[in-house]
Amino acid sequence: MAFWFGLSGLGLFLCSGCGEEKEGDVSAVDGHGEPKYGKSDEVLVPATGQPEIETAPGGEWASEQIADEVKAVLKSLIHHEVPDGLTGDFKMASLKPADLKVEYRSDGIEVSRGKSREIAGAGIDEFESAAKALFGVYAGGKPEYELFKVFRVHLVGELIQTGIRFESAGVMEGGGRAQQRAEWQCQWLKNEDGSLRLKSLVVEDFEEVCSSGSDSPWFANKEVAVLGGNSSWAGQLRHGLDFWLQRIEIFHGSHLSQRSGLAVGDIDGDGLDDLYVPQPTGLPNRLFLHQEDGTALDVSAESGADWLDFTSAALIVDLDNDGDGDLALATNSGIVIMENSGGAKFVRRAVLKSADDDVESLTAIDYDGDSDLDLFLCFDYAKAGARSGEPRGSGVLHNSSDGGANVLFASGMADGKGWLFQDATRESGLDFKNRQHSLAAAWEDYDNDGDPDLYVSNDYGHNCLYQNDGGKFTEVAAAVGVVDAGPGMSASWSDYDRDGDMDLYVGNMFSSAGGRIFTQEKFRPWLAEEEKGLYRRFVKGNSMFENRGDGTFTEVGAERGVEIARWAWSSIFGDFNNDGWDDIVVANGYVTAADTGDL
Amino acid sequence: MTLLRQGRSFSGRERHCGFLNTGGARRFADVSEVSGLSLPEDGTGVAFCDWDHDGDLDLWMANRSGPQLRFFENEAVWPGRSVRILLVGKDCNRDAIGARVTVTPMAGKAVARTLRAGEGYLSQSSKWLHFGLGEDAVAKVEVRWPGGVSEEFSGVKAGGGYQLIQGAGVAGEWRSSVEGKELPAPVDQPEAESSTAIVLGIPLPLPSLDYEMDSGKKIEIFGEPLRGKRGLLVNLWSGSCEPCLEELTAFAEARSKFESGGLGVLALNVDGLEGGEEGSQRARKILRDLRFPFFSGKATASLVGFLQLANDELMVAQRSLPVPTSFLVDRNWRLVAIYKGKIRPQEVIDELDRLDLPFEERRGGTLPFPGRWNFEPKNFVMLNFADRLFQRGFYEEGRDLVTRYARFLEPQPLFSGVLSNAGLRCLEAGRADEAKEYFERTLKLDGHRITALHGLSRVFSESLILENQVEALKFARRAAAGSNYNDPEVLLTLAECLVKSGQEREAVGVVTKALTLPKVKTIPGLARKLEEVGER
Repeated sequence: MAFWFGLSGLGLFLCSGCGEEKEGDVSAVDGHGEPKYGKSDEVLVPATGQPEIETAPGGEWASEQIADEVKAVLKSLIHHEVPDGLTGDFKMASLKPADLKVEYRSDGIEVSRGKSREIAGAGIDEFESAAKALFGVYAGGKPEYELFKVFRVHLVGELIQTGIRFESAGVMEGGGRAQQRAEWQCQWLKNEDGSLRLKSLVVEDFEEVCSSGSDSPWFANKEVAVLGGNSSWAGQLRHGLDFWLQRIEIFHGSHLSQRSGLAVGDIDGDGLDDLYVPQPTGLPNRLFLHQEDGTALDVSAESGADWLDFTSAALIVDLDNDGDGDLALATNSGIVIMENSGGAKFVRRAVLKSADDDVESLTAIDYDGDSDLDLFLCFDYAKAGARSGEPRGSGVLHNSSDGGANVLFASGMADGKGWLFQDATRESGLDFKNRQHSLAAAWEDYDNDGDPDLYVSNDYGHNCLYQNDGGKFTEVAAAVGVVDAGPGMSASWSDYDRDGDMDLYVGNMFSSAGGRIFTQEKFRPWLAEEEKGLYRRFVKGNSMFENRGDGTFTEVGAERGVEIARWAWSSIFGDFNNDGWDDIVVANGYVTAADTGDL
Repeated sequence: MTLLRQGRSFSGRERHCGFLNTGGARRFADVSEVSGLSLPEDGTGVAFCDWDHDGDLDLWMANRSGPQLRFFENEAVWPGRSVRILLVGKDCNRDAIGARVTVTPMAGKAVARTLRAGEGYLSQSSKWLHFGLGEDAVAKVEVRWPGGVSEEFSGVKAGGGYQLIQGAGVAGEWRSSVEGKELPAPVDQPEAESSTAIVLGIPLPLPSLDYEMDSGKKIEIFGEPLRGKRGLLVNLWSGSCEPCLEELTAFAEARSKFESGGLGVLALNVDGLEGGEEGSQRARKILRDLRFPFFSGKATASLVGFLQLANDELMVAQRSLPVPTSFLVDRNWRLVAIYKGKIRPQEVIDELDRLDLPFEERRGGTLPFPGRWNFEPKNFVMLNFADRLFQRGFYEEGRDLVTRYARFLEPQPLFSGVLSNAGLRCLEAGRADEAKEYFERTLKLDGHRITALHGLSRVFSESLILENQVEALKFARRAAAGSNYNDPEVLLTLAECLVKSGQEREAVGVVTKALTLPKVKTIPGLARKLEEVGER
């Protein structure tokens, strides 16, 4: 691409002036109806803070500039680059707490924690030696990675108080890998030119993980080894959505917000896991069969399951109980049901239509105990024009009821009706609070009564827990304490504390920018304190609900150290170090562009 | 959202997280970095499985960004062993989704797991249930099958994989064919293509467009350059761009191929756009030296702006056009394809041959890979494009489009909206005559359209001719009645018309009514305007 000379240099491309789009009375011309842009308009604006900075009178959103300055000064201080970044009376605690305690030691992994609020010294010399002590764990005294995040800014008279999250990682002196994370409270004074000088620093929390043994991380990326022999790897999967949005026309149905997951499961009954990869509009979904050498072979075209319709999620499940994996695909034209007719060849048996088309997660369960698998599909936005007389999206962040309607399809397989699925949302009671922009669902018998209950994570609403009683559901989230009024994006269950009942981890979003802005006095002063609390809750991060054993829950995300997991999408439990205790993986990130700055 | 379409990031490069359970009701350790999970990508889904059956959990992750898939192979040496269990239901669903398996070790606490199909976000993990045991041994394995029946299984030992068939009571050991095998080395991957062909699923009709001769004379693109041809390749190039020069040379060499394929070329230099003659002089020399056998000239700012807009309307991702970019147009003035980067002449000629294929076949061929559709698209592209031309001030091009293709556009139900919008934009831009024409055309298609009635009333009321004031009032009354006297902006126009024609008393009534409407508050300055009219 080195030889591409952008015409933009000529200042000609029209987009330079297209900030505000004025809509006339023909907005319905866009055949895809309601854009999903509400997401960006509402969440993104306060979270980035940028529009607020520009529009607030007198530039009161100075917290954003302060955050940038704070990061720059800390970064250079820790690398001994700015001797004048400190006030004359600067004092600090040790960056690596003296009372560090080893709280966990197993399998060559050592976890130490501590805090230091006692002033250890003053001046730039102290900072230098503190930084040296902090990075002493790393080979050559240098981490490979470091990060400063400003999650809170408060002005107290002349003083600026900031909360900082610090992270570092690298190879250890003497082998193995280490990482650190810390929370610092810093006080600053402003110079006349607007730059900042650090007045004090204490360490509220510090954690260091050392993994001896290998210099390599525990997991190695082997996707090219497994899939790289297929032309679809280099041609299709190697490129992300932004690449394809420059190449696939809008009229096919392309959209900026199309997200696709994946399904891992055995298609051909050989006991090896195969891979079905749903794709955005215009790209064929891919089916890879696990080969004996550990690679996977692309059989999409021969399989008949190479749909070009936008597919958010897929399930490999035995819908007709014949011993091989069938497919249920959540596409924007309905759930496509495909029977495996043997040898990974699929025949379309049904397309289950719903009122809405903004599909999200798909799950299968036998909810009514009749020995066949039923399907539950989540929807985010409502389809424009699907319901007459309904106003457009309210844009309410924390308790909306204008989303698409989630659907439960009951299988007719056990009744001898074959591939007939019927909408059982209403008769089962799941049509209650089911239009709250649902992104994910997970089934679990949380009350240990023998039938599967359903937790639904809602992006702009209260999450729901539907308690199953013989195929009839009652929504009990508030009663048992799992409402979690955040931007729910995922749900995963596990008995992570091994006490015999199932606990729940819910993915939300943690935004340090949101933390800075929503806690400001000047943030939306017209809102009631309670409502502001909801905004703050909106960006606080993930939640862990510990089952008390009586079917009620306590939120322990912060105590368990699993609250701050960035802009979370999928989260899942699994015991990846084989010690019997379930660990957590969180997939993160919203929109990363190839080569431009973050908004 | 506009910024996202232009390729900016938002909460991008957020690293994935891994949390290590340090023993139940205790704090998890952040192991995002030491685990290697913390790639700064846009992850969506994540699924666990023991892909290589080596006794520890690997994971697959789906990304929005590229690459769209990541496989994280668990390469650490864990002292702990595991037990892997695959269920086979007999009196329940065969996958036994919903079953709960409890493995009790000799020393430690029991581990319970439920088999799920779909969890996390958009993801399904393996149906092999994975139980870590540490260095413990298995004491008891119990399955509670969907439906509630519990069954104990014997024969499960730490370190193995087992199939548990409902009712069998004894676990069957399962040995995998991939066990103990190393993955082959990754295959070398080809470099990404440096050029992109976007072939339109439905060719987009274009209005009349001009380029410029060196003399400054404007020439119709679809005139002489297209005459007698099946198609025309409009190429944007710059003298300072090496691939452009290579491409022009290739074009010149392929002259006979182009001629026999019926394809014309028009090479338009963009170097004059920044002002200054130097670039254009250099361009002339380059073409002279090449003995360039096709049409050539200078791209105007307005033409490049138009082509950029066409590109942006077709794609979600709006990126400024690179050079070289070529636009393939057929003999009916329809845009067939956009080529970014260098092209192969034969590729373009083949595209012209494919134009006559029926839509379904053509649509498939215009996508990067074959596949099958459930979804039927609507052809709204041209309507949107026409609407956007007026929005962006391309009045001449817009006018030509909605006039030239009137027969095609008029049967489309949303076209009256495009026309009334065009009228509004022209009215705002002070092009009253055009506005009037668009409003009148709107009313021919939809006689009750408030925007058009209201618009015509405004067009007439701005005229100084007295009879027009009568027309203005007539249309204002129709617009007000049509909107049930509920639109304060229409009522403002009506009140103004009433004042102008001396019917002050009625005007006061209209203003009073308008001020009671809640919508008044949502339009800045409207209440004040209404009050002013009221005072008059």
